[in-house]
Amino acid sequence: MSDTLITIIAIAIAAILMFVFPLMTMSDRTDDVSQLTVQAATTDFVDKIRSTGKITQDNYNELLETITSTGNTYDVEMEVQVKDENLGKKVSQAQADKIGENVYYSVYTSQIEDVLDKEGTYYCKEGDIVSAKVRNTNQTISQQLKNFFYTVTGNDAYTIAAEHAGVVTANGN
Amino acid sequence: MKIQALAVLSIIIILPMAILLNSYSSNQIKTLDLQVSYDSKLQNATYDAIKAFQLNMSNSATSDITNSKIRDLEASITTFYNSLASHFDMTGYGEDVLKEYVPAIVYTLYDGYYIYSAYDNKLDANTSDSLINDATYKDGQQINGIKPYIYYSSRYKRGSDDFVITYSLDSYITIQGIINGKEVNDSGYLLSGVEKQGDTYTYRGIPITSENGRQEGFNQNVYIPYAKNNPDYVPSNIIESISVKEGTTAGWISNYPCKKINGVKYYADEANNLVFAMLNDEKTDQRDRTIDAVLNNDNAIKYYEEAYNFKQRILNQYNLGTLTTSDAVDMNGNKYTEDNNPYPIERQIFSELGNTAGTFIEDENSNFNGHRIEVIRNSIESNLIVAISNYNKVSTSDVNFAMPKLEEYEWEQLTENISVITFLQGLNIGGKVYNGHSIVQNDINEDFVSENSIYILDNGSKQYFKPTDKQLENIDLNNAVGIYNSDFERRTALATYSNEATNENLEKNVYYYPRIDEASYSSIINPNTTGESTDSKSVAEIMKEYAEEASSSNKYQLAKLYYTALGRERYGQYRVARDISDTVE
Repeated sequence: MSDTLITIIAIAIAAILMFVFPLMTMSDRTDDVSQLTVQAATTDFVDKIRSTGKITQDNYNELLETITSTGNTYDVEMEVQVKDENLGKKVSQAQADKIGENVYYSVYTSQIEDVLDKEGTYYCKEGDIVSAKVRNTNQTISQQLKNFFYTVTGNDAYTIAAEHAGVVTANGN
Repeated sequence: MKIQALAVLSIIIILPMAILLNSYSSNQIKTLDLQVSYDSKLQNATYDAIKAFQLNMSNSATSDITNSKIRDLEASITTFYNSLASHFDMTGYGEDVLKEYVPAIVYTLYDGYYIYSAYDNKLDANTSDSLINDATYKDGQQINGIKPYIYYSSRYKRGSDDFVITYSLDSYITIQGIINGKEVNDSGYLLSGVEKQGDTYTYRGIPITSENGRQEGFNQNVYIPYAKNNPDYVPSNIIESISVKEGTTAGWISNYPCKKINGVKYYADEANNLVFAMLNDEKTDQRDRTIDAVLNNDNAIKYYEEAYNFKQRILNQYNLGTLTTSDAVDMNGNKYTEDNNPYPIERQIFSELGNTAGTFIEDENSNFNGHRIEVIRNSIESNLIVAISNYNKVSTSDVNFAMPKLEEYEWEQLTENISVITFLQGLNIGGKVYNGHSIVQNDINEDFVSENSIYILDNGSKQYFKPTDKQLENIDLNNAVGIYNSDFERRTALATYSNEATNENLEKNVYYYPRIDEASYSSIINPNTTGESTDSKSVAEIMKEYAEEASSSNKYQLAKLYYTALGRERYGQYRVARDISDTVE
């Protein structure tokens, strides 16, 4: 009787060790590779905007294509902080020994996508700040397996994430 | 074998594999992370360098003179190294350590470029004999510095003609050499669209007239320091008095009509019946210029007149209409072979100059422009390859430096505007060696009036727009004027107070805008609100279309304002070869 129990337990443990453990390791590595791809694509996307001063439909599509080629679905968030110098000018107009503070207002993903759809290009100017954030929205195999054993992650948790931001260095023309 | 043993065996095989894979991929990620962060650091440092260059240039009245420009460049390079050092958490190390990893920095300017890199300092026998023992420089010493200016030029041979054409970021060229047996040294803007009708010059059919300098748009603020040698002078039109020490006046910010000639801004102080210019933060009176000359701004007419005359000389006197790219020779005067020809597409360089319709020589798609870009690219590429590979001889690190391949869009940036390229190579980022470069354009500068640098100012509402702004359709353009974008940028001046008796020396920075107008929200602050497809047309292309509209239309008026301002500002630039005697009145 006890021998049978031990055998069953042994088979269960062996199954986990021989199948699930390698699967988990491999899927973890897959996520790492995805992370690598996503990180590179995001950085490339933002740096191109920074040096050319514009977000083009082509570049945006390239980003989406590259990240979805990893087999996951992603949520891409963009933000452009638009620099408004007009208010700063008013301050230094009144007092020549003060530098007026610049004000930034933000434009977000849906607004940028809207412009991209209509005009094909979103123009930035020197001094704007652009940032992009990419996260996976599906559960990767590695996440599913982990959730199966120990629930450490909630439903909207992500394992692949990349962020990049910087000041735009040229006026888009 | 028992199943447990099988499990243990598989763990023995899989576990090391898993660990290895894990460490390999996490190494890869680390390498990429480092590479990405180095890219950003390099780009930020390059941006800082260009900002320093911009600030120094726009606050210096002499920035277009070579030695002053070199000083600005050196300051910019120091800024680059300082910024790079602080980004790498190496504050305090600076140039000496980092230059090991920076094979070259290139500043592409209006008609040529400077390369900053290591070189052997060769002194002639005379100089090296007369050096004292502890002299700063020694013969044969390897130093990092700015090498001589290289022009964007190409040599051509055709029959007995042998000459060099120097190109620039726009259609301005300089021809030097022998044409028809005569020595030629001529320069000017190439414009097909300029015609002469009676005494009037027209551009794309638009008559160019002189501008009234009393318009609001021509008034500019300027900081005038208190002059000890002229203690009674108080400027008129004071906007603000500046004092460093309470109860004293260090200077004034005043507002005057202004006209720019050969890189110098002349201000008309009507109340004191005086024309003056600012040189190194000092007011310099210009007695040979009259108030009327400043108030009657005919720079635009002169620009188109010069271009018209230059066109006639090119076509009739020098007969360059038939010059092709196959006439180009290398610097030793030898024809290019098929293998080393940098201009593989045969083009008639000046064929479009005489056109009255179709493609004009100043258009983006002209043969001339294609060749101009080839010349610039070939020149930068060949010199940079040499500079970077030479760095291998100088560098003490065992990295093999080579020039990275620049992408098309990067070349576009370089041939479009004044920019800087920096290279950072040889840093170990785990697994591989970092090899990066960064290009940053300088959109606001005093050296180059690009087609995108003209804004339209509404004198009434004191608001400025891009010429393509839809709002301009509802504005009375008779009360508007085109303004050069750098005039909307903040300037800095140093206000000082000194009292020898009490040994007091105080100073403070003063900031002012030459023009303090409000930027349009729909075209300058956030140029994405038109909601209309512009088909990515450039400003130049849109203006070309506007010029064909009926002369009563708003669009035609806009094109007129734009072309007048473009001509005025381009004529106002400093050019070595310009004869300005006729501007003294």
